[in-house]
Amino acid sequence: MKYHLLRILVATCVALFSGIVSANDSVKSAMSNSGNWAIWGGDYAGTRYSELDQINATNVKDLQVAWTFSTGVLRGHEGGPLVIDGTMYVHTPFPNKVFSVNIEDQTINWVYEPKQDPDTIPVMCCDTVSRGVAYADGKVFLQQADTNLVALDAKTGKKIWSVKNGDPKKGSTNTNAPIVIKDKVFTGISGGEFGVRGFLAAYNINDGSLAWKCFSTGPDDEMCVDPQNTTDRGTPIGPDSSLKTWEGDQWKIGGGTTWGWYTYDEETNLVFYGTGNPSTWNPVVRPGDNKWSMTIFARDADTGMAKWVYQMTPHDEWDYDGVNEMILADIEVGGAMRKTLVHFDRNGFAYTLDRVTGELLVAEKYDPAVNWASHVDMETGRPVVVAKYSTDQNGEDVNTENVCPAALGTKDQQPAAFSPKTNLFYVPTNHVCMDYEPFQVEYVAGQPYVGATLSMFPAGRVTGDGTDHLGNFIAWDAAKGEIKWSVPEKFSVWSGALATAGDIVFYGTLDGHLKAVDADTGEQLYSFKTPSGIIGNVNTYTQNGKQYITVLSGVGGWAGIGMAAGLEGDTDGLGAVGAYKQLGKYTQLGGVLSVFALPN
Amino acid sequence: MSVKKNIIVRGLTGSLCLFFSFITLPVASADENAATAYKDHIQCVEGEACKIDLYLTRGYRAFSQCQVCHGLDANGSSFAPSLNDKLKEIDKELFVERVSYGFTGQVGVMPPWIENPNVMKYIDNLYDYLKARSDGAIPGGKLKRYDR
Ligand code: HEC
Repeated sequence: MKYHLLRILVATCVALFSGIVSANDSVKSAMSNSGNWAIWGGDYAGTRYSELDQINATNVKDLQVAWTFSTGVLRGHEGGPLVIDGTMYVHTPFPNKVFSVNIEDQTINWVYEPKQDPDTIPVMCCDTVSRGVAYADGKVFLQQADTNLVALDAKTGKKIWSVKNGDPKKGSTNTNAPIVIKDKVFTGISGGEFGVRGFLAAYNINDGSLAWKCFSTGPDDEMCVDPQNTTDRGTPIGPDSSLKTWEGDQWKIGGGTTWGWYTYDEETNLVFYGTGNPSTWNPVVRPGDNKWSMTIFARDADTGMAKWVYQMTPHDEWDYDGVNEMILADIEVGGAMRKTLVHFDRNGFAYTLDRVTGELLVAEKYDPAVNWASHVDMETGRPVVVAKYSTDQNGEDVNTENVCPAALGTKDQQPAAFSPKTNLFYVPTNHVCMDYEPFQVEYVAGQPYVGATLSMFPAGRVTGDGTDHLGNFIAWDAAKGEIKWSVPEKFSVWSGALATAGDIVFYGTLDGHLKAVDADTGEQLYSFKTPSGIIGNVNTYTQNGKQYITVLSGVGGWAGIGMAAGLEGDTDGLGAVGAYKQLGKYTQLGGVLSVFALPN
Repeated sequence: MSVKKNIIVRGLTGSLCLFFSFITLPVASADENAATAYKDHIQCVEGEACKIDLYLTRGYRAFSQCQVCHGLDANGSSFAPSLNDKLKEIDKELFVERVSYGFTGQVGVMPPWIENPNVMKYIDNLYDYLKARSDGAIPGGKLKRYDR
């Protein structure tokens, strides 16, 4: 019923906008200019790769700060600025300001500062971050924390329209960056810790009207799946694929939120994203696979209809949200060129799939410490869970110890990069394990719904290799499923990577360093200490033909907690942990954009 | 096993030999002060991590609703203060008020919990757990139970 309504809506919208130049063209043309950084991932495929090579492995050591810009906001700064034809759009965490900056003289063209209910803040688990804006057709799209999606006039900063995408009173908020495909802007929802039911929504860019909304869980029509034509690794999913995997109505408060990054493949017209954890964190009370939480979705960008799905962590027992970015790359796997989707999941496995069919090609651990599953069964696509790390099998009120990775995952939202020159993926990772004890909680709308106690510590304490670092920056071969090289980092690496044709890769560290490493070896070539810890993404652009590198510093986010994992000397009698110092000794809060260039 | 023997064993084998130190040392028996009520719920054995009972475990569980902001070990994060510090500054009455109704201060917004049974049912447990943490009577993280 609902679905038919949606279809009519979609049809109406298509009719309304056909004949108008699609926004896709404006995004595409902005992206095709390598001097721009027009979308969060640099391109629709989310490769975070730039053809720019002025700054390269030989001269990057000479990199200098060209200019800096304070955002005036203290909270954690995730994401990165867009640069389109001489204008930079800088976003901030709550209150979600947007600055339009003239990169020629660094004057501010306009500032947009929404008035948002501060009551939104307490329902945002893990800091009030925002991962950035989208640009298309002379509009800047901002997904505010209070769930309002707004379209701003890129010239003036004036609000053109605004639409409410959820209800913060019920725990719905937004942190994600929207993306624009054709005449629609796509967004999701946060709030898995509040039992919010996840969805992907497409709004018409001209007036903000809803084109469609497709849920992660529930009845087939509300999920926009077709029992016969939506497949799971080639097999039709059949009717009621989600309902069958939950007890009763649990799916209604079952999470599967969609707060990560979205990518798009023009050839297949598919939009890709992942869904988050099933609520609550206590797995014992929600028997079943809890579909389609923890799932990669491939949806038709026009209708929302799912072409294929793949659930990575059926019946999650560890909070391994599946929301991390889906990078689209064409690589040779097993001797044949494949159109792949590569995904570094929180659960510690890196997945290579055929993005056209959803066929699973490779699934391997990208941190050797990962222990909750021995491997992924390539026949069934399911992880083979190691009993002693199963928080469900151990049961309520039992502390499951030394599970790797910790709930924040081997990688969280911080996006990886792919270089077609080296055919390698460059991945910022966490090297953290946990103890996890599920217990009974009561659900109350708008209240957090965390049904487990958690403690985290360096992975070295589990592997027993004598190390105590909390992160690694790795190069990954997605065809073989192997780590090419791995650079240890004192703290979790929580910054989005950038790979360039200059044979270098950039990333930031929680203690505030922007680093450049050799794309082939991982050897450090450059390091500069920015004003605060970096959880933002490194981007690049050109101005008058000269290449610049940008990054937001401003420590915070879930990293602001995750990094503190095991840093206290007294968590147990083991001396190694005592070697840690609080991140506060290295860096303080405060959002600053730093822009780097080679000397003239 | 006598205390004396225990000391001798320890003297011989060093603190590694924990198997013999099963004798619990009650930390507080006489202290009836409400602020240190937690003492009745902790048992420590020299050379071993202290153990707690169901009462404080419930406090720790209630605390799991606070961890996302105040840090896993209550030591604070980049957006909420250390509760280990705060509980040195405020008394139980103010604690219960702040947790029940929330407030906006210099650092940010502390949410109200009055409607959340997972916290309010166990507010005494939560206070005692955090007070014990703040006083350094127990370490952060998951602690073993002595009462089962
Ligand atoms: C959404 C984040 C968040 C959560 C969740 C949260 N707090 Fe807070 N809390 C804060 C912030 C921010 C402050 C500091 C407010 C200020 O001083 O500006 C604070 C302050 C406090 C204080 C200090 C009160 C004072 O008088 O200074 C106490 C005590 C406290 N919180 C207890 C708790 C407890 C107990 C829980 C869990 C039941 C909890 N908080 C959950 C954000 C949070």
